[in-house]
Amino acid sequence: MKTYSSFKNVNPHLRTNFGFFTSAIIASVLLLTIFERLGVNAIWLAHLVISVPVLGYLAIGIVSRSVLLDEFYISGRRVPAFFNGLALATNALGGVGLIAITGALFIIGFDAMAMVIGMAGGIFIMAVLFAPYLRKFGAYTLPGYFQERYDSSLLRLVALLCLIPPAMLLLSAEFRIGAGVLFWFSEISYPVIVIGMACVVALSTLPGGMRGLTWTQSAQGIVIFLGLMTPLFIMALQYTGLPLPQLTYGTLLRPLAEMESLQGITAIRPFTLEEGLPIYDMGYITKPFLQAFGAFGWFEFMLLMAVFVMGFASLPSLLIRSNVTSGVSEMRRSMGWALLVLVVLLLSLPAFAVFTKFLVLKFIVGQPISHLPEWFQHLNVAELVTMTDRNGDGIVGAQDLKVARNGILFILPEISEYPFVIVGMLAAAGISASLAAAGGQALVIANSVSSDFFHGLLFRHASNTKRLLVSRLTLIAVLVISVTFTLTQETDVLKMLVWSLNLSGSVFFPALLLSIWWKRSTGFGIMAGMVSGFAISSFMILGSIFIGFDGFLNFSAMTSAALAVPVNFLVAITLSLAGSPSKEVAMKCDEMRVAGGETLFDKAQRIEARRNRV
Amino acid sequence: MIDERHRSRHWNATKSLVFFLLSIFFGITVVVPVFYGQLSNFSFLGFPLGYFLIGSGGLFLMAALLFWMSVKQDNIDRKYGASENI
Repeated sequence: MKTYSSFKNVNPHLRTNFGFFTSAIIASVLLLTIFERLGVNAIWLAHLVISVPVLGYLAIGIVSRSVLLDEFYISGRRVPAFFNGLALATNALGGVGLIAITGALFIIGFDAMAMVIGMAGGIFIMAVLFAPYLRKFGAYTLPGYFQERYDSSLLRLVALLCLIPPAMLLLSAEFRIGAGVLFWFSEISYPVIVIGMACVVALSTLPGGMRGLTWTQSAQGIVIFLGLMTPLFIMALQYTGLPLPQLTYGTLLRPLAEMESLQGITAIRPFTLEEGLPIYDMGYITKPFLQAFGAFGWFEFMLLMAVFVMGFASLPSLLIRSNVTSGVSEMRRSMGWALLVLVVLLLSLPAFAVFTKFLVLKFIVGQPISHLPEWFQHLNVAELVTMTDRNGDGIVGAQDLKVARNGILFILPEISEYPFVIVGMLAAAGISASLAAAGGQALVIANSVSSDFFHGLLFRHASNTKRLLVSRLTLIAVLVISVTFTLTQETDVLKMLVWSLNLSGSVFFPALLLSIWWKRSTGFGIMAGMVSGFAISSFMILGSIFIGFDGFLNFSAMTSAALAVPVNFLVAITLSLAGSPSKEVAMKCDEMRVAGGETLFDKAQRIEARRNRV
Repeated sequence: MIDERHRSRHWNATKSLVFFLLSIFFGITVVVPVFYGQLSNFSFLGFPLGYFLIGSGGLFLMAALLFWMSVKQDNIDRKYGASENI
């Protein structure tokens, strides 16, 4: 029997190439450790540790240049399951996840786990409900999927317009966090760093589009792994005896709780989400790590988790990854790899926070100010930790310390007096994560504008060369706008991430769910639902910025999706029931649910090509 | 290609697999937080049990379930002739 799935050749040297990349990174780190012993200036070492992988990304980007539409948009549909999973996990985590969430875990302890669980849960929901079916559909972009599914160009335009704001927000947040890390380590000015990061993103995605992005994100995933795991492994061996930090940090929780109560850190009363979530630069460590629902209440915890689940399950830059594998079954396996990699990375974050808090309580809190070790001065000068003796007793109390949320990753190696190269590796991991996520967001906007607006609505007969050109020009424009936006506003990165997840969740989550799982849904219903979801969520966010609107019932700008998603569902279902889908549209739903057979998007393209010939 | 008569049975089998996966997901993310306080009287590997179920073991379980799902769904597809490689 004829099979329609397009199995193409996978590069046989893929594993070798990535093995080579990994060994090159490890070798250069070891070499630099020797240099550090020989007394080379630490700042120079940090620059080298950061620039070696970045040069690697540029090389990968240029090597994977492409002039084929398939490769530029969906990486040629031949990425092996594992590598797609690695790239997806890297893109999902991003710099904000790696740096800001670790900081949040350090400051508010268990309550920040809502974000960790929400991110992993979002990928789980995406894998179970969306990804395999979208792979069967095979559209180049998310708005393109909606157009093809419901035969509605207007829906495509609406989806495109709703896709851009959350992706832009997230892009800017990633630039901010990556640039912030580099700013700590170098004397380069902040605008130059942001522009430099945009250039790296441009060079690694412009030549090869999705193909370049897939391989740079995989490489970035490897650098994040090496950078994050090295200090954690050493810490875990030192304090728990087993090099499995994700599972063994539990044994430190009880000693940590004892030290906390000794230092007068006792259970606190919950605030609202806006006050409880650390959406500020410097925070106090006055909440016990293990206290559950202390920074904000149980209800807010669940809302925040739901927002993360819905937001990540329907994040366009991740969904577009569901098209790059060779088949539906491969896609399901790929999601398994993605979640496994993501969980290992995500669970390193609370381990990192617990180890750091343990060290801070052991070596800083409770010590007389005159006897603080030398490295405390380094932390103080770098503004990672600041101290004011508020009660004037000459002893560092828990209330006297303020800790930089985005600097938690760099406090641990400093206190443990690890070689400076390890700090550099962590910085490289943070920058890699933000480059990975920034590339994903930038490309999803560029490809959507080119494929859905330029080709889909304006010029149906544009040549492939023109479509690629528009993609590349849009990518440059997106980066320029985003750099300007990044340099002119000061919103907290974690807040921007939460807003972005609210927006994408309230628009796309119900739309995707209904378009795959409810045959009766109509294009008009889905569109009205999207508009209402977007309107509510963006009104609550903009209202909180400009007119001090602080929410409706228990829902605020940070959890607007929890209100917008049910409204979106209600509108979409009511209006769908009022009309009825045409037979063709309903049949596409049936076809999506079966793994075998021709990819729906390819079939549509084939039919259109034949019509054009005739 | 799938036989038209098998379409609804294939979809029912897929749906029950998905409902099973979603019920475990809700167990981890909703039921555990509801009973978080009571669960924390026990501990596992040093973690309070609630913490372990929601924040550590539960997430690894989800990843394992996805691999299990991909095998299970392949079997369903093959059984009803909905698989990609026939």
